[in-house]
Amino acid sequence: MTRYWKSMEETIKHMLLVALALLTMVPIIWMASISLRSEEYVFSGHIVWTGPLHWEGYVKALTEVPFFRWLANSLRIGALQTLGQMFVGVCAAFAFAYYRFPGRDILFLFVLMTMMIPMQVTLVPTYLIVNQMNALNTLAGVVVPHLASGFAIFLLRQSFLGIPKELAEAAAMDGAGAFRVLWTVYVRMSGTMLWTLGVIAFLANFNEFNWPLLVLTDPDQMPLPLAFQYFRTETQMDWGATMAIAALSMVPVLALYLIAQRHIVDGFAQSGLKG
Amino acid sequence: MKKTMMGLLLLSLSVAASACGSGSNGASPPASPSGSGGAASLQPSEPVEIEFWNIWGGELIDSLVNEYNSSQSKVKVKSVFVQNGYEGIVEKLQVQAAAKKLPDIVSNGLLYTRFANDVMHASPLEPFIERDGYDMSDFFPTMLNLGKNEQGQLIGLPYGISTPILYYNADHFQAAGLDPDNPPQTWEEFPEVAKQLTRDGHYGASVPIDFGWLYQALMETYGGSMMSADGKTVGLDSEASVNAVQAVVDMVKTDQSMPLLQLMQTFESMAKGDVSMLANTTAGLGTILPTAQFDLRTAPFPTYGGERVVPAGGANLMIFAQDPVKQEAAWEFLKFLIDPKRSVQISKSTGYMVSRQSALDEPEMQKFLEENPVYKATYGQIDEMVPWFNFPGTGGTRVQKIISDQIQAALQGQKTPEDAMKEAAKQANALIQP
Amino acid sequence: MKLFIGYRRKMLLLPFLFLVPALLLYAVFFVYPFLFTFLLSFQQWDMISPDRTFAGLSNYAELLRDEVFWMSLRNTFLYLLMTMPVSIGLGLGLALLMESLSRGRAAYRFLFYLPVVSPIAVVAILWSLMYDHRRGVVNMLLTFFGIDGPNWLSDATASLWAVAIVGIWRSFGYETLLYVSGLKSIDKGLYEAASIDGAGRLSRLVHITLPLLSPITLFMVIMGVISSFQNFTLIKIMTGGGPNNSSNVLVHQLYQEAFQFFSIGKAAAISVILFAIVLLISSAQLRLSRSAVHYS
Repeated sequence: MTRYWKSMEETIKHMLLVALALLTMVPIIWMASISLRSEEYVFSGHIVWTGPLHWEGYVKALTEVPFFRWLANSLRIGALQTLGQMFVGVCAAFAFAYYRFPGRDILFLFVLMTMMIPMQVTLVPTYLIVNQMNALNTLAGVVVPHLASGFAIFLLRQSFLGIPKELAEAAAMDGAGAFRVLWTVYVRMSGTMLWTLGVIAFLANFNEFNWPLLVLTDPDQMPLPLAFQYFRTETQMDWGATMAIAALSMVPVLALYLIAQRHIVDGFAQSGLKG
Repeated sequence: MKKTMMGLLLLSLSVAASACGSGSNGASPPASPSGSGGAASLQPSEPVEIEFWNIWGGELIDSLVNEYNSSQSKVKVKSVFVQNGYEGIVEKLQVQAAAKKLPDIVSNGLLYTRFANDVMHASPLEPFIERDGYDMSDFFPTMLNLGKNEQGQLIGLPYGISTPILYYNADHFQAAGLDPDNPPQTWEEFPEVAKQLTRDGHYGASVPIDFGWLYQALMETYGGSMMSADGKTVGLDSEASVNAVQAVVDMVKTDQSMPLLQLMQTFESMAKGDVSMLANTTAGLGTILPTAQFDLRTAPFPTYGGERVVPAGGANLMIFAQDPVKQEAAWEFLKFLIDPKRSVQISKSTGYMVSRQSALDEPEMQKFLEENPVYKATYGQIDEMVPWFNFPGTGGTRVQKIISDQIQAALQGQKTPEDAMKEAAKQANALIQP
Repeated sequence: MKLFIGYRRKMLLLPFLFLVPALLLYAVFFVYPFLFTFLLSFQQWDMISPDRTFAGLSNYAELLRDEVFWMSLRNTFLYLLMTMPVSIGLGLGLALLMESLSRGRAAYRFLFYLPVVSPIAVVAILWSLMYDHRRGVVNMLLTFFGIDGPNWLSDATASLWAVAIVGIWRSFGYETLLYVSGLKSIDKGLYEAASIDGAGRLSRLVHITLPLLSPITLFMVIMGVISSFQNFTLIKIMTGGGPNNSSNVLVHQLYQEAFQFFSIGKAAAISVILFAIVLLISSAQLRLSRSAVHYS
């Protein structure tokens, strides 16, 4: 009897979750559905498109703009920025988690504070600095200003704090230098967390477009999100092509997330955010 | 610890100092091409690279630029597509100007002519025109006026100009028992027609006057003027202005024959038959025509008291380069762009107008207009064209925002049109001290 | 002072060695720009002209007189209140629901996280289309349930809600994920012990689960404040702050001041105020939570 109730309850929960998941998916389903319609049916009022499929949007997206070049640019920006953020973050987090030194807590508070400032606040001065460094229209100009990520430092520190200090001390006793301790103990033991952070940071960096669009004027170097605007001018909007690009640009992101999603949950569970 | 922080601070401050230093040098006054004639001659060996900012992007501009680059070896043009239209260009200009990374030739929105002159120091073009003996006689005079600064110097040539026209859905006219060959010609009759067209689940009209450009069209057609005659105060609270806004608010609130829409939506609503008439830029044809599944027609902007005033939208081509060599290269490219044959191409694909009689007379253009009569309406009102009003002082764009905000307040029913326009005038007057 | 003596030289040097990359980057790309912004808030400048003049507190005074500023300030807080509680509540509810399932958890997790990874520019354009008064999918769904939906983006009473709904849609998956990982790390023995003591479901939820999840909740609240105050792209693309500033928020107003009205000084003053508010809220949260958050 209890078993019956249990499976009943499970079914009800599934129904609820499926309904919610469908509701959540409506925008994405709609995006895909619009990308496959001919122009005159964009506003026809169908949620799901059952008429003939039109691939013109995809053809335009792949031929009229250098889609793959922009995709490669985005991937490169995302990867470099993420790796850099991880490197800077691991080093800083190690200092905060392993050492005791005067001013540590204040410095850490400062790191937290940096997260609170919207990019728009420091946009102009940052742009001027990048210009001073002659880094406009370069990959470095896009990536370097955002290498110090408060979010990464914070999460890594939480995760490092969860590693027993005895392990590190034992390694130090065996004569391991600071770098060795960092590498063999802290980095090795936070593999999942590093993956998690890497994926989350990559997804954010891959999608960022306000800053790259400012620094890069050369169309050949632009990141993918530029393409969303490309078929949209003052008075014209090519919905089919725009939605096709939107759908295409989600593919790499989804693939990455699908591969990494197990680790993401475990990573957060391992971090200092657990109960 | 403290020392380290101080060191870092000092380091950052030194960066600050150098950055500020560069920022405060400012732009040097524009060099006149005739004054530095010798230096301006192009070196044949190395092509001069110039940057061309535009809002069109896409195939058309790319092919024009490629054609130019392969037609000669002295100048190499790099086309940069800027997002978000003319507003986007101004935003980007500002940031780049702070870093002194300016484009050499720009399609500059007509709302920003004053900005281009006062802040960007766009080059006067007469010296180039005179030196080359370039024939300007066939440019439409009202369009040439758009590129003049307050001293009367020509700093831009019209490229991609538009005026507001009336779009209408002839099928809806028929369904409502109206004559599709006889759309409303006056604003006096417009609301009544809109009311009759409001049926079968669609609205009669859309007149988005919270877009400052269209507000200017309507209030000046109503006999108003953006500034008082003495140029000291704005004319936003004049009777004509209030009446114009009131007429539209009545359509929204009393007749419920007009929906509230974002600017981009107005074109889409027209295209999909959700509104029967639309007063908006002729450049919307590029959006509406391909999607419209009905008999789409256009007519001139309606008159009021027999008068019609239509502000020009679109852009001027301007030379922002300060280096004489680059100015020269930019001028060469500009001449290429305004060639009648080539400007026909851009008009055909966007709905923007050609800016010279010779281009309009091109057989290709005439044939196009015969086949697509909807593109004709705008040319019928060239003589009633006035510049898109640029408010004096540095607060011009803010005044545009104030107008838009207050009209929206009236349209939303938060204020009466009279209160809204009084408030707009009050705020605007405070900003326009010379 | 005693602290200093207690450290060996090496112990002082090494941590800073590890901090050098971060500190250097922060100095150049954070401290300096911020100080520069702070300085600019006392000046008048259009970013282009050579003269930057000292303006004292006039930028701040002008803001206090500016009704758009008060509207943006109000909307900034309203947006936070509209999004964060719903998003966190949904996240918690879904996480509890999902973790009690015996199968299918991974699939749900994937689906709910999709919005989080969608590019924000796409999201903004997509939802603008969905909010179309007549033909948009939002109002079509509402009509299905017999509700006459508003003219979302063009109605002053609905525009901020329209953006907030997208904000929730984009963030609750992240909250769900964090709660799921939090639930995973709770020792199941605690529940068993409580069951033996006769605690019901609700009592276990209130006395074990929620307290143990409180550090995560605190993290979410702080991050939620930060990210909702940084909500720029959605507003810029979807409403531009309109109609009549009904959806304008501080970050968007600061952008308008700088790039549309050429008042760098006023924009900088908004930045400083925005920063002060976020700092104040976050530190208040941290302080309040010291007592409320349960650390095991």
